[in-house]
Amino acid sequence: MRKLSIELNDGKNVFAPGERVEGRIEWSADEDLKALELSLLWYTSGKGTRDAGVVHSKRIDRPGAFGSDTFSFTLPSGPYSFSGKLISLIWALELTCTPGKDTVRKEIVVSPTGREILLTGLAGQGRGQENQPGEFLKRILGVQHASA
Amino acid sequence: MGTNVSEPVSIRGRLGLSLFFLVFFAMGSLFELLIVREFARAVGQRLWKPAPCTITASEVQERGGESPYAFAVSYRYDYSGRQYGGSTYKHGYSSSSKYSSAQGLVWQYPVGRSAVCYVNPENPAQAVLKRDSPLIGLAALFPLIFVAIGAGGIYFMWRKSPPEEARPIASVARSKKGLGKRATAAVCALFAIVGGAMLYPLGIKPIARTIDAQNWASTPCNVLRAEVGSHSGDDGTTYSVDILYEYTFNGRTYKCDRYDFIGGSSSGYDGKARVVEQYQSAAQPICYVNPKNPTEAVLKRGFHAKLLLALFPLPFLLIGIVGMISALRGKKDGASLARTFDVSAPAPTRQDLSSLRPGDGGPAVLRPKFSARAKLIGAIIAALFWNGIISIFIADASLFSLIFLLPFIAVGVGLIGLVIRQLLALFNPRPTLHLSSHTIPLGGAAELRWSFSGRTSRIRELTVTLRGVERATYRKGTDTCTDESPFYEMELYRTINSTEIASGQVGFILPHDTMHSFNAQNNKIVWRLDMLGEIEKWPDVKESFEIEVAPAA
Repeated sequence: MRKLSIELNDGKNVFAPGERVEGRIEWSADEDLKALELSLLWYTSGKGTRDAGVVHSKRIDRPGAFGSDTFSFTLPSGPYSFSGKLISLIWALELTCTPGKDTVRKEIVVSPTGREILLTGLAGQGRGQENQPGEFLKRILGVQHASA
Repeated sequence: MGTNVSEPVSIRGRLGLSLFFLVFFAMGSLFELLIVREFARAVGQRLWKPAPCTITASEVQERGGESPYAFAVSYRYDYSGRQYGGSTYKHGYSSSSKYSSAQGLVWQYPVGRSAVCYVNPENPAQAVLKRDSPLIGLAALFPLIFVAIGAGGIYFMWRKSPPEEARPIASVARSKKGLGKRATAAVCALFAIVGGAMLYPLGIKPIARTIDAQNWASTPCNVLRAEVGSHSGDDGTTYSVDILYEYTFNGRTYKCDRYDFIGGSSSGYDGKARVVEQYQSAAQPICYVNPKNPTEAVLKRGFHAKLLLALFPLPFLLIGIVGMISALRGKKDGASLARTFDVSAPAPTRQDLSSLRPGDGGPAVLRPKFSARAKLIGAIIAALFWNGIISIFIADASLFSLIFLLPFIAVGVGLIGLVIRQLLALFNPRPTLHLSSHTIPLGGAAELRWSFSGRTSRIRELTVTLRGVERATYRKGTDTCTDESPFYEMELYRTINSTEIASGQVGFILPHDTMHSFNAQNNKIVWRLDMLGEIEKWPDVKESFEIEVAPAA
């Protein structure tokens, strides 16, 4: 009987890009484990064939039959967690042990808005702004400077 | 959200698929056994002893049937002090459908010639002039593919795998990068090998012989027999022009049955019947004789539509080589993902998220993915290839065959229409787009300038639209499909003013609460600027320019 778990500090599971993801992993098994691997990864789900990317990983060789450890990973600036009509992108921490392929996964949200980006309901918004060459950016930046 | 494609297969589905794979496995195994048996025989024959022999009889015999021409040979040989007689050319040889094949052997083994035959040491009365090649063993690789597909299919169908949620993603993600590349490269290599292997017999050889035959001697010949050969196969009956003719060259008389350099048989009876009729009624038609080897002759030389078959292997070869190179370069793996978002970028602050700032990387000139000329060339190649192949079948097709070919002809006509459309579009005004920055962050501002070259007065109305699109690629049976779904659309500019159409500019601000560009192998978020210039009674100007939208920081 094997038991793997991932706990995030303060139970937090929504992160801004670039933020640190910190927490603790625990494991217990009937026999000594060969290795444990904790990965910070994203994967897609939906209509398209699954894509996945491992951003960081931490390997513990010969961790024994039970124990715990802490982890700390820095998130990259993207991709954001999002959900659309065809594709979803999910961030997760995944703990796998060998021998066997027992796996536990903890999903997190990576987004600058504090929630998963929803790719619906944005159609038809806004319009371009007519201007003289270079005027638009000057105006935008001017507004920016004034407000700063 | 869309559905996940890897849904579990029902028991009934599994049984059906298992039966399908079992047939693959059984057929593959059967062929494998037969080939292994032949290979063992060929290897055993290598141990037969060479012995000098003399050809005592050699001629082409006509025996009727689909392969009427047989090389009949007799020879004498000495082995262990005793004399024996043999009449086997090669194990398993019976006859040939081509007179020239049997004739070639008669020329190789003329009466009186001393040759080497191979004697079975265990039964010296058994001998052959030509031993079986152990290269037959290579053929065992082919049914092995069926065996592997069958066995693999059954294994993967019934193996107990944990539910997808319980499967580790990290290890799959790591192995997929290398495996995907290697698998793609292997498939492309297979294409290139098949294309390359077909190129010589189907392409290079007939074309080289056609060119060479321009110098062959025109010689009057007598038609001995002319008929339409009928060949039954899995895909129905095919027909061939079978003409046996006799000619005299340098005082010697030869027979040959080569009509053209492509040979083979195809569907369509009427065209072949017309050719046969023409030769049946001709008193002394002209054949062309190779002066270097007068046993070789041909009735039809020069370039003709059937030689377009020579183009058939080229797409396989090109797709294979190009695919292999691009797969091994690994353009679409981690590298492109890293380009889409900078993993080392600092964390954005909440203030950053609301800021409006211009993009990074300096101004950019945007280009469409495919130029108008490239689109035209692509359409021409597709139309030539498709219609070239179809024309071979149409050339001598019966009414029934024509009806069957109608959908294929319709595709050919459609491709010609596409060529005409692309040709007209070549004369359209062409837009050049300048974006104030190469990469625009979410929530960032950018300025787009455009200018057209060519007769812009023909454009009635111009629309510039910014679109964000989800693009998902997935497998559906044996096909690879790509679906698109727009999630963001902003009409930046619409004008009917001819001066503004010719050149103009527009500023825009990207929303901050949406998704940046994302470029994985099968799933993408694409941002693009679509230009639509409507032209009356002419193909519209339709160009898309992909832009890179970065995360907010």
